[in-house]
Amino acid sequence: MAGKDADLRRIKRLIKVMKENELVEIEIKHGDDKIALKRAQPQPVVGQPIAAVPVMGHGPAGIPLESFSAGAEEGGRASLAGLTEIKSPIVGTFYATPSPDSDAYVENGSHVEPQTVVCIIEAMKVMNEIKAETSGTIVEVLVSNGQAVEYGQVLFRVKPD
Amino acid sequence: MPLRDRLDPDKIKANLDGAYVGRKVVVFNSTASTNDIAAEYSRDKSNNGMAIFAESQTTGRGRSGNKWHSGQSDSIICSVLLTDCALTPELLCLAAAVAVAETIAESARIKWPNDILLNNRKVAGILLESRIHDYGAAYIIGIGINCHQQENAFPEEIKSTATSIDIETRTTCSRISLARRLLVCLDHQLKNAEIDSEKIIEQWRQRSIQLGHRVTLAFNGRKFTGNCIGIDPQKGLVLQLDTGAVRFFHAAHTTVAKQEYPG
Repeated sequence: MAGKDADLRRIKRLIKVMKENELVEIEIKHGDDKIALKRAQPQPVVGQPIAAVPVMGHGPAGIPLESFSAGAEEGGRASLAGLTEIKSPIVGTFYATPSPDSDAYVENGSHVEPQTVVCIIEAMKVMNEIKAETSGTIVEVLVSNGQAVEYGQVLFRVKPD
Repeated sequence: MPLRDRLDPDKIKANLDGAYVGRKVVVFNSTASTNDIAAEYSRDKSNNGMAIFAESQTTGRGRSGNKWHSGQSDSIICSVLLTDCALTPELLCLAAAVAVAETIAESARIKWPNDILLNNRKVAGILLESRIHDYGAAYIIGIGINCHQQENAFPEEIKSTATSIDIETRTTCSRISLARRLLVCLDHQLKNAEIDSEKIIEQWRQRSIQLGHRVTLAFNGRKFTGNCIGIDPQKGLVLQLDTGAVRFFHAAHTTVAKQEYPG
């Protein structure tokens, strides 16, 4: 069984490995010792702390993995605090541009107003322009062109003005 | 609006065999301007003939920045993109006007340059725009047709001069049928214009509400009154002025200040 400081160093190294390799989850077992790490977002928001919650299992039973996940999600929410989400109001296909040859309506760093069109969702053969309905700067685009999206799926994260 | 009257690209495209107008049809629920969307599509020359419809338009515009009034699903709002058009803008404008009038009714008349009238009231408008690309000029024909509006739908200032197909026919028209007919007529008249411009001019003459009547035009800050004696596909409307002189008035720089309607 490693000491507390040694564990912390190991975890820090593992977080670095996860970041560099864009890993979402990592689990290491040495006999009864177990370290499991999970990140809420594969690509954390720029400038936000990484949403990783290190949990160590000590003793024969260790700590169930579920509890690690719960912790990770909580951490994810905390790291996104203060950001507004633009969600899809309908089920459909996401298009980032007004026409296939056009520039994207918005990208990371774009400033939006409530009436700014941020994308198109095609549903039932009809194009629906989606408006930001908030003011701020786009900090994350979570969907790619042509992707199927669900009702309520987060499309963009916006840092409010 | 009955749900069945919602625009459906597949139904609009049906029976457009052999036509290049309407080869691609896109329907927007709501957009600022279908002409702006068409302008985006104009970057790709292969989108020739594409038609973009909208159920409603938030900042629709007419000539000189006039607003086009439309509520949700009560109009045909359409932009047709031409990326390979050999016609002059003037002739294109005439051909589009003839096609839109033909779409609406046998009795629809043309008020030069871009209004279509039913019983002397405006039922449709056309706005021609162009974009220059590496491959040449793309033309965008923006068309607005009032379909389901009732009298109270129009703002006070245009109530006496605007109408809709439903008001004039006392029925409920089918926007899908009209949209399809619009694309068929446009395709047909644009081809006609390329083959024989005289054919278009003759049809325009037959539908003109101004030909043979007194018209006052505003051009370059001055007003000119005279009898309308013809149309020229390059130079515009031909007026025999009260001074005796014959003058051409180019659509791009002229507005109709006064129109003495027949009858």
